[in-house]
Amino acid sequence: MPICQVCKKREATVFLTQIINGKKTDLYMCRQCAGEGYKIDLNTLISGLLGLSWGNEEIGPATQVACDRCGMTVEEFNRTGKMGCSHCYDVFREPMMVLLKRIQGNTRHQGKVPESYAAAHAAELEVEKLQQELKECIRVENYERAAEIRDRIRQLQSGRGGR
Amino acid sequence: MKRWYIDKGPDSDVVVSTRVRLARNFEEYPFPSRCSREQQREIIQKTVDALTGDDAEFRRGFSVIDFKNMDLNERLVYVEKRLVSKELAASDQEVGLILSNDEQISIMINEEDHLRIQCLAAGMQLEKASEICNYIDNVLSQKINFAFDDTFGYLTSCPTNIGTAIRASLMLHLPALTMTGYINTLLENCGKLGLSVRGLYGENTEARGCLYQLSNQITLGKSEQDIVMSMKTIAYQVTEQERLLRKEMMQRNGLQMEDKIMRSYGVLRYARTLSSDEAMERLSDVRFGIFAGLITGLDETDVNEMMLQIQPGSLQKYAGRTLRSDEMEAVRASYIRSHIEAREKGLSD
Repeated sequence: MPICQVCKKREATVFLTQIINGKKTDLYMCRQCAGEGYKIDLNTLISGLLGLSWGNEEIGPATQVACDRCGMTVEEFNRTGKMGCSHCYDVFREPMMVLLKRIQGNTRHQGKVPESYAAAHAAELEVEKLQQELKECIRVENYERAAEIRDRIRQLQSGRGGR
Repeated sequence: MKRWYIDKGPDSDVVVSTRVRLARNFEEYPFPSRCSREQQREIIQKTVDALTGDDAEFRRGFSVIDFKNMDLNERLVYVEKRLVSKELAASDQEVGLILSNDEQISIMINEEDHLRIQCLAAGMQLEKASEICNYIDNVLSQKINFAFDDTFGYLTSCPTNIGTAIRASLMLHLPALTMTGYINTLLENCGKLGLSVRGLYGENTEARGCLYQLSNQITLGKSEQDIVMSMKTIAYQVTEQERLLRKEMMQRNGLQMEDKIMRSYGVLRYARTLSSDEAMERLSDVRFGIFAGLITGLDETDVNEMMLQIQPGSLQKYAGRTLRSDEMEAVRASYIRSHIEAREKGLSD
């Protein structure tokens, strides 16, 4: 019987295996340590595997050490495994990509998109398309159509972001 | 729909219950651990308003529970019913809880994420539970701007939940796989498929009562439907294996199995003290016995209810007072005895 990796004293009777993208991680725990709500597996893994790190081959050196909105630092994240706010994901986007690749095996969301977000996004795409068309209309001096397009763009832009 | 623990769901010989949970965060607030108490209270109020908004009929289906001022034992009862997480119950922050009156839908507020929308159902009902979560999310989204990123999807406090932020779980009763030891192979294979399996109930989380919780690990890069469907497929395979093994065990060792099950039934019916471990083990045998056609006076909902009621919080609520551990064993035995007795007399519903 292996020894518990958490307390390093008792015999391990609980085994946790995680395999993501063919990378296998084993965690052996005793009943007592496993009983701490299984948060241990995450925290242990987080401190070992799940830190944000810069300066490797994939990304350059760190450009920022704290979130400018909530103040969360890299050190705090590496200790707790928790982000501070939604903006942290913007601030730490690059190292987060590396981390997500490792823990989720993916970096790109698929599935549900909030309705308001999808609507805002649709408007953005339409504005882009209309702006192309507008240029073309001006080039061929079709000012009547250009005015229509301009109004539609204004309409879309004023509606965007509003809920 | 009835409360999960007193309802008979599909495939309930193996699948005890289904739970689907979505994590959501307000865009304009930091995640709960970095919120002030004032902000946490605002989040609770905004959630209540968003959910209970204009539709009076819809509103009547829910109650706002004063979880923050609830004593610890009462909170524990909610944990044991699986309506809230241990983390919410242990929190000293401004936590909130909205619960549907049928205890099917619960919304935990200010746990690790601002909102955890959860749906519980008896047996195998993954699609239905996820549809309900999706519906509640849509209702809330009309009033709340949830943190969402084009690349990362729904943003959560912990990157392990990001993306769809969906966690689907099934509580499985696997006595035959456990007794034969095949469970270890199964656990390993589930790990390879991106699912986690862990024991359920009790402080030391080994699989007491042969109950296991199967959940998805990956939340990013697969759609909600894909996550739910692949889990369902795997769960069906596990279910089939368990059924085959049960049948084989009954054919090969019929007398020994029958003896084991009926002894457990006898202990539950007549014992004067029962530890939690023993009670769970005996109830597991009885659950097996019910589906093997050996025990006819009880059904799986009795076992579900007893497994729930003998947990410390629920048991103390039943007794109406705090119990010492030796008292707990006596009250546990007495509760089980009276439940079975009532069923034998046809008094219980």
